[in-house]
Amino acid sequence: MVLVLVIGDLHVPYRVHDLPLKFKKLLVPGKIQQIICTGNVCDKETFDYLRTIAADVHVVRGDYDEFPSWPLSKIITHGPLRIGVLHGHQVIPVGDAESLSIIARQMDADILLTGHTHRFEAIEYEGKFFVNPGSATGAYSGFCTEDIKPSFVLMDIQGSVVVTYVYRLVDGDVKVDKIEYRKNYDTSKVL
Amino acid sequence: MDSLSFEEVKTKWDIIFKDPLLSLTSLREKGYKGNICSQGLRSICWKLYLAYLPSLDTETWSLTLNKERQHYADLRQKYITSPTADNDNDSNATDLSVNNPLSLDHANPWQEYFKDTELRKIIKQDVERTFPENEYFRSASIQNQLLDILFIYCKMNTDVSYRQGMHELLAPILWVVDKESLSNTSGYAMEDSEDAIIKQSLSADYIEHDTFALFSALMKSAKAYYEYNDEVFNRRPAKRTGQSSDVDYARLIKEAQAEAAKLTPVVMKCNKIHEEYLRTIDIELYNHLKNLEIEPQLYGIRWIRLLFGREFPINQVLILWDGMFAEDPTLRLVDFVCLALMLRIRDELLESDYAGCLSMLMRYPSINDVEVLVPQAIYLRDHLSPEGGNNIIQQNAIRLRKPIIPIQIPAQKESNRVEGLVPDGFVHVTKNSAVMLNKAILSAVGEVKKNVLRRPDGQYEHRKRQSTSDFSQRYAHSYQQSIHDTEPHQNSEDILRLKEQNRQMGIVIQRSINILEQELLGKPKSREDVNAGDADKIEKSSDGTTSRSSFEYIAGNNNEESNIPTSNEISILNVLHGLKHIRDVLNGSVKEFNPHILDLTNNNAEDHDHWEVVDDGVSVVSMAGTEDETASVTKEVQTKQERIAPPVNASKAPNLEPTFTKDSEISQPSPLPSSFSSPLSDETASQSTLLQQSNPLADQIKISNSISEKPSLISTTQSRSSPRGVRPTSISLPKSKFKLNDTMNDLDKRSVSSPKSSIVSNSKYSWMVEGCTEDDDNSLFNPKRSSIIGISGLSSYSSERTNYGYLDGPIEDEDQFEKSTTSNLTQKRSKNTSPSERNRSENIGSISSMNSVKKANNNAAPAIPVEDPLGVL
Repeated sequence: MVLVLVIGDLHVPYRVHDLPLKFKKLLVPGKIQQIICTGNVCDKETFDYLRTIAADVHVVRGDYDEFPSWPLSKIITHGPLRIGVLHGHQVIPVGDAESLSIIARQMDADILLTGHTHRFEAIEYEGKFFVNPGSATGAYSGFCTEDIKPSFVLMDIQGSVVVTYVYRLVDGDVKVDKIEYRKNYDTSKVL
Repeated sequence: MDSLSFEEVKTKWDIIFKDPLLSLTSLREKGYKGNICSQGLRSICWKLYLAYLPSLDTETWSLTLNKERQHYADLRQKYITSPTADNDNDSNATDLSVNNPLSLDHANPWQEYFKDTELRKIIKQDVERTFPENEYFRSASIQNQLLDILFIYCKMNTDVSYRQGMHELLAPILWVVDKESLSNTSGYAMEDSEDAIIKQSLSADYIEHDTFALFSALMKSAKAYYEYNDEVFNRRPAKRTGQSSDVDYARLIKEAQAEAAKLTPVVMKCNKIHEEYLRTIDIELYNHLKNLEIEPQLYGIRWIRLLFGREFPINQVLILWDGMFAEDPTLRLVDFVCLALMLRIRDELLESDYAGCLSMLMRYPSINDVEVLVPQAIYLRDHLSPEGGNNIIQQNAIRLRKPIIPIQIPAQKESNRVEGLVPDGFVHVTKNSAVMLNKAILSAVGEVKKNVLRRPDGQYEHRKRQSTSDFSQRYAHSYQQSIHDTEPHQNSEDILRLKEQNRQMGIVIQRSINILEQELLGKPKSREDVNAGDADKIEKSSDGTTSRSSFEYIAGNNNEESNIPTSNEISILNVLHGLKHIRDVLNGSVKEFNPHILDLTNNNAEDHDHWEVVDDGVSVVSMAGTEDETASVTKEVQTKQERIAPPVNASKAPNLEPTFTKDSEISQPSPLPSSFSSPLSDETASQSTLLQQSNPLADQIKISNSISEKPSLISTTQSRSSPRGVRPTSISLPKSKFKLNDTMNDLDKRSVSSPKSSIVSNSKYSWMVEGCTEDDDNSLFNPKRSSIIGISGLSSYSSERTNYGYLDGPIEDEDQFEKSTTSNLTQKRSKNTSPSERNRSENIGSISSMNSVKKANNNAAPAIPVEDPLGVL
């Protein structure tokens, strides 16, 4: 059983000064084994903060990141699962399921993690699982007209089963939702 | 790991269960005395020892097994679960705000999960390092099994939780259970009931379950070794956020730790072993370690917690555990196994400095007979006294000399040893270890020979000798000293001296042999009386003390002896024979040391050989011992001889005269003649013999015996002689005597210091310690002292006397050799004669040897062996 924190679009310090306090309380060391960051962390201090939560941090470069050395995309495997990570600004139209599906096929990923839209999304499409953790700080985004709520995702990966916990800060309270995804082997075979 | 086939398992099963006398007690006994666990099914034995299986009634096993296994399965389900999987019925479970990985709610099942993960991580670290050299434990599935079992145990015992070392207890158990498991257990219900039970109890499907049950049973006792007494110690790892500030907490911990460390049960146990037990049984070692400030917990914690699992390779550990589990499933024996281990390396420890001791204790030297540790520990438990410790030390000394030779007759040896642990604190080298003894002698003699033939380097090994008796050890010590003394002299003189010393040593050995024989072969009842009589006759008992320890040793043997079959006697004779050979070598009557003589096997052929050698023996001295053996073993012959003896005496009497005159020429004038007149016996010649024997014993003059016996022989009617008169007080001692005397001086002092107490404790040997003057007359009256053999011995002595003139002083080899050969010829002649004749001629040897001993030592002890058989009569 592996707990993977998926987090991104923090935009610290340019749009938000810090993570919400309630999130910080939850994100304590010792529980999470791995962090996958979808980019736009922006400054080094925030990145270091992430590393205090778990030592194993995988991060891709967003359009506002200060680290040119970071890769634009990454593939992480957990047992039978291939997890593709991309910030998402490369995808046009932004956040479009079809486009993401193409990228997932290109990366041969079972799960595709993207950010950039600042809006939580977790959909199963063509047998693949697409997760967008939203913005952990609730930072402003030009693509999103509605009220942006801070959110992140925690994936509990057990074999080919992924239980996704979504943490959202709604009116000062943390709301938790659970979505389960099971990789379908038949589907991947067809593909 | 190659698992066993069903047939193999069945065979092993039968080894355990086909014993008609099978009982739980007998099985336990076999556990530490024999090797039932190695031959049979160790896992089954352990299950019985640790009371996992409640009885030997296999019918009930099925129920127990099912219950225990189901219990483990339940536990497993309860403790090893995912926080998301099972708790649908729980109200909290459905509430995602509580039941999510990051929730801080205490009811959150994830909190438990994270704690467990921590624990498992810690356990896993250790499990991965379990027996790194063993391929079996490298497999991931095995490691997982270990991990799960430990984890479940920890969950059940949260007060102790996991401590480093538990995995080392668990791993061997899993290894044993797995190795003896039967993988194909399907359909056992169809087969006959026994096979079904076998298959069920050894089912490979339940390795983990059974292992857990065994481990739990073991940990019932071993748990205490892992406990921390102080509560703070337990609380420390589980620091809660709600607690006081970190600074306070740290201070608290520090204070508590110091306290807790002292109060930790395992440390207390270590201290108890060290301060109480070790101090009792071996004050010397205790002081040594104390001076070096080696804390017992440095090594003790590891020994105890791992049940010595790290000190030996795994197969030896298993044997050790067999014994410990069998003897006492509550592991109380551990303390004494610790002691046994320390005594085992006692010598090395005493020689080492701080670093040496520590490294030896921390990295225990490999030994190849772990199976003796448990009996030793049991012995120490039952005999927690300096004597007990001493016995073990001596046993070890004997054993260490031949590390290659394990126990040839393990079952017999073991059982005998336990019987032989005489409670009255006698020094004890048991009869069953006759083989050992002989081997010990063999190597010891090798040592002696080396030292004698080359120039001694002063590194004489005391212990080598001490193994047989304290006496020899002491002598060895003196021997070494004297060697030191001689070194500055010129070579020829050195050699001469060495020879002389050898001879003295031979004499000493002869004395020991005599004592040994008397004790081993004589009858216990009469021995008391005889000894009492001896005590009177012995003067000042100076020598008695020196051989006292060997006496005790024999006494210990003697207690056993009553039940021991003749085969054992034979082995004893063999040992004695070996000793005699050594003596001969030392005396110079045998040029070459022949290790084969000491190479003892217990068969008859060897025994026969033994007699052969005796008959052909080069030295007359050796004859003495042989005669004694003969006398005691074949009692009928003796009685027969008794009848024959008087004529023999008469016929021999003439021979005496020349001998005597010759001796008297050599000897200085002494007050002896006067004594002869007074000591006149009442009725029989046999008593005169008695006198003859007793007098020489008492005499300090080397020749006095020859003189004294003359009158006794001549005047066959003799009555209570006052030994005082016989015993001259001021005598010129032979030159050779001085060294021996010196060496024995300190011994004398010792004995004098507490003679009474030793007498009280052991009246039999009181004469060894006591001055012996008061009861002289009584002793003379003692009818048991008189015997035909004595007479015949006496007369024959006189006839052989000429051959022993050379013993009076240091003389060149060739001369000795010729003479001894002559005497030997006499012996050979006797071999072909009738038994009585033969005995007689052997008596000659014994007496003459006795004389020679006396001449060198001016001490009385050697005459005893002749008397004892007489006492029997």
